[in-house]
Amino acid sequence: MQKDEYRRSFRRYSTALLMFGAVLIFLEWGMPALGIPAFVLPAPSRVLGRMLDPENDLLFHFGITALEGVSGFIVGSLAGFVLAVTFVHVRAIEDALYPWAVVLQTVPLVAIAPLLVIWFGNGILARIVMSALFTFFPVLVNTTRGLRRVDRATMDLLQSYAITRWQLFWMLRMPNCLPFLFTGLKIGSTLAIIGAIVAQFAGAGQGLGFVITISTYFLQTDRAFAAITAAAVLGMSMYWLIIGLERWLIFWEELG
Amino acid sequence: MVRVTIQGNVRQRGLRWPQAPAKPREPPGGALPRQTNPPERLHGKMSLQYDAAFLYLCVNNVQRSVELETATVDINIQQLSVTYATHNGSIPALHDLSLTARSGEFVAVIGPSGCGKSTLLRAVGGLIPPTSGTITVGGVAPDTARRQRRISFVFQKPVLLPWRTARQNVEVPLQIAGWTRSRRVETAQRILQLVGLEAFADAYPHQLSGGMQQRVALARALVLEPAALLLDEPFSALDELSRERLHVELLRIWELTGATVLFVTHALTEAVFLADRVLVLSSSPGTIVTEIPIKLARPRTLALLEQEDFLDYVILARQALRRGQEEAKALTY
Repeated sequence: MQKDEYRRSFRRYSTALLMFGAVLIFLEWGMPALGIPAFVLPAPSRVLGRMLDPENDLLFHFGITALEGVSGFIVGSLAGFVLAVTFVHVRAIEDALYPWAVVLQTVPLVAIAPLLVIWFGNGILARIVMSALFTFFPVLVNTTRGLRRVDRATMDLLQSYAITRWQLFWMLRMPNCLPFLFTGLKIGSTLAIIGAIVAQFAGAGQGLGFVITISTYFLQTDRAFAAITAAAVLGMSMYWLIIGLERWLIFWEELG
Repeated sequence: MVRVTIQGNVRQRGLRWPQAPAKPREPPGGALPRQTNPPERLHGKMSLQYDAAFLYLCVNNVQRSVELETATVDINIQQLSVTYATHNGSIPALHDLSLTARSGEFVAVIGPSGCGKSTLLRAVGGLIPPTSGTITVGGVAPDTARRQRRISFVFQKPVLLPWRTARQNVEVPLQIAGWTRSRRVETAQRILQLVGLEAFADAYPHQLSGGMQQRVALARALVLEPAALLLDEPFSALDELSRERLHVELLRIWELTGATVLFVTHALTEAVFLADRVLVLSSSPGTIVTEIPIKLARPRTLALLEQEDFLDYVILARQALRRGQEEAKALTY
């Protein structure tokens, strides 16, 4: 069964993998053959060389971005979740704040990155705040929706046993909103990394965003690509971590 | 297995032991009894050996028939009206509806779709307040009865929590009532045995068939031993065969628990097969048109479905239902 499934998904994704290989081959040998210079699009082998070159300290910058992104993600999603729970239980707060949350979501957060440096200094804090802001809104909006969307018959049933609000929250609302929460977390996890990198563009001294800014400044495209690849790896591993957690926690969705 | 010996003078004229069931029925939480056939009549000096479980069954059955005659009114609805406020004005769902159900009685309410049957149950269960009129359940207001957890619902959908196993779903009312974990597990397990699902206690709802899910819902409704059981078209989503099987099952369980049942349905045969009394509701706004007492012997089996007296009742109910609809039409046009 399991083996069969693997084989099927391999067959399904094999064209995508082939495509990826073709692009790599083109970048490696096609581009030089066409006479396109390496500072426009570097060969994958050079990017890989840059990644492994200890002089670049890529691992250090990767670590900084991961630290900022993950901290921001945790802070942002916790804040979003707590506010969503407050919304569902205190109507007045929701009426006062929810429209703001929706409107603020449309503000291009990237634009406030320089302001964050003014407010929180040019340290790790500004980066964490940025990344938290990116995570906050999708988690807030999705969790609120999930906490609200409870089946009426289930509600009737539990109410017929005179359930308290506290019990209702833990017995129904919380597990019921998990799929929605995870939708928010999945969006938030990639946004958190983007947030950290964007914040690093605004004058940081370390992190993958800093590496990208500096290396493009010196036309070291291969170094920039190395940092971009590292950022992609970071984003993807966050995403897959969340998906894994989701599959483990929400076992009933997939099967039901 | 516990064996009980009755010895001594038993003098009670006219009281019959219920017939020993041809196919032994499952007693609450016990293995099947293998008893000697009880004598027809109880009198004189005798010594009998019974399984405790079987005795429980017998005594329960005899008590029921005696009790129903003298039982107190358990659900009492007087001149109930419920109107819903919508943005196009208020819509009357129920109008001037009165009904009573005695303690331990099985009352079925039939009516066309949208005649306010579900509204009726929700009002009796204390989930919505009546616009006018009074309801008492066990002598108290529905909302009080609900707070005392003396009312249980079974809906058309099983409404199980998908992240909980069958047993954990049955535990829900107990958990809300604040029972300890060990008592919860034990009681839920026993009730699951009653509905014949003990082997599926650890299965999740998506692993169970529709009929099994509804049996879990029934077990959940019974677990706090409610005084009133409110069933809102509980079997209408099932196929014919599972439905019939569950009818028999429901009657068996109800006879064991002695709860007052208000069973709402739009299926005639179902109502006649199950109930002591069938009330026919007219459509919008719902009010009771006719009452048909169903004097068919219990325990009822599926064989009854093909018997003439059963079919007579069905025809009677059908005519009443049609009359109700015509009256409603005459009122609106």
